[in-house]
Amino acid sequence: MKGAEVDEKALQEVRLRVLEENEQGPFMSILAFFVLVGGVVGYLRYQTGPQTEFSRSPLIFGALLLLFATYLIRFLPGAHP
Amino acid sequence: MGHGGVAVLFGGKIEAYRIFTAHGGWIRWSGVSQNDSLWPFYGGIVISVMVGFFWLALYLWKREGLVGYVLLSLGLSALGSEFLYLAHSTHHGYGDGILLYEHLGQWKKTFCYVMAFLMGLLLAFGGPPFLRLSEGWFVKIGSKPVFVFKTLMTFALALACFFALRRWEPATAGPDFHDRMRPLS
Repeated sequence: MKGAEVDEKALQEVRLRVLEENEQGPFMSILAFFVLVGGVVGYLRYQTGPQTEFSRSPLIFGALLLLFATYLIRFLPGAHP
Repeated sequence: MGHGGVAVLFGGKIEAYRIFTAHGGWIRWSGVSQNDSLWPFYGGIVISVMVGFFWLALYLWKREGLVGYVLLSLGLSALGSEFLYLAHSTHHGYGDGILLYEHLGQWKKTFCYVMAFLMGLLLAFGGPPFLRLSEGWFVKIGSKPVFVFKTLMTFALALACFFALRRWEPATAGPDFHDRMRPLS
């Protein structure tokens, strides 16, 4: 039985596109993610006022750091997401 | 200016430079020894970041009023634009990030994420005092959400003007604009 013919050129184009998306995707999404998270935290701190428990809590910094560490571990060289 | 200043500090000489309206600029230097060649290359962005921290340090000394607002704005915009530029140029391999792009290898993404994280920190911790300082005289405050919305719209408008300028510049600067932008290619 004759197998289905593979269009090598089309396959190569798909491979290149996937590579390109992998290259572009994570960076832009991470950038947008941290800008968004930073923006939301900033807005909440502004909304609650400078002297409130929320605004002064070191937990905010800790939470941002934890979030960042999670992403770093996910994408560190050698990690296999 | 940062690249050129550091090049001169290391015994170099400025050969040529050009600054564009909305497309950055370039500078060419010579006379810096091979061992010191990285100093002028990274000196530009290091100085920019140091200047950003300098503005923020001054803001910590003078946190109130128009002076505080200007100092904080200068610090946040300097650091924010440099972090974004470093992340973008390292990711795509141009400008100040080209050597990092070539040599960081698989750590390139990690470096970009660190820059993104720093931008998030700037927004989270620099945004609220920036908004508080601009209350009252920047735009009429109304409610806080409306004020934040108006501020964001102001930034969006400024960004739109910048991109319009970027489109306008090549269209009006003559047919050899792209050659002048890339003198080494």
